[in-house]
Amino acid sequence: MVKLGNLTRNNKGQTTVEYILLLGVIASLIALFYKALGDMQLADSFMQPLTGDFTKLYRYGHKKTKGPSEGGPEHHVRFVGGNNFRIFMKKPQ
Amino acid sequence: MLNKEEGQATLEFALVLALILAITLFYFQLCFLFAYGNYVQYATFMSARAYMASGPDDKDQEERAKRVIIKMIKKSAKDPNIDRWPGIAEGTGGGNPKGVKIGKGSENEAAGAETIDLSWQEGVRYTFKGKVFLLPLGAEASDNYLTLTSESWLGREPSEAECKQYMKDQFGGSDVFFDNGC
Repeated sequence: MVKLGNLTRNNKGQTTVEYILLLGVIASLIALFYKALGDMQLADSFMQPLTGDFTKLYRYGHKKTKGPSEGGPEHHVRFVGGNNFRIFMKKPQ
Repeated sequence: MLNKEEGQATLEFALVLALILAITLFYFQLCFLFAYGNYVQYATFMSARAYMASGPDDKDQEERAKRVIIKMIKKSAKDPNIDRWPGIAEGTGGGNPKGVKIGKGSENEAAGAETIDLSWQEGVRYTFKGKVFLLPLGAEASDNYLTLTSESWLGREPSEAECKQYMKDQFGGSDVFFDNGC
């Protein structure tokens, strides 16, 4: 039978314990780092041009275009009159 | 242990790796999404072309368009609601198959037959969403997706049945001659 005294007096397992403790510290730091990134709204700055201009460009071919169900039509190639023109942008008067 | 500098490089590497990996994966995922977006534009065009060409009746035209878009962007005709590349993007919103709307556009449908301003809006529309951040980068789960819509409004030629009916209404009789441009 192993005596408790023997277990606490030797150095076996110390490296493992230190490793686990350090891993905990590093994991916490990474979690904090990610939280800070979230607070900085870094993802939003990446997403904003995509959800705004690019989505319109992809659908209509022009970033200023508005469809009839988006408060438009504006700068729409298929509508006649108003602020719409078949070559995308109406020439300034 | 705290007085030593061993492991500092490892710690810094771990912290920076997370950020670099997130941005690199974002870049790759975005490239895939853009390439897929291009392909979807072509798929909706092909489907709209199949829808436009005349056929025995309008149901046949719709069925043809459906077959084309399923073949191009869905897994198979057996699984029309499973996307071909779900890791890149998936159909979203209503429609059968998911994300696909064949026929009149919703604005045209809502306007009804009395207005011709939206009569051009007939063809195929596909709405899909793709995950942008594979590693979250602090984004909420709902902000992690980019939703795009591809539309191809080529119109629809009258079907054989519609032509027959039109000619019958115009000139009477049970059997009348008609051409494709009736």
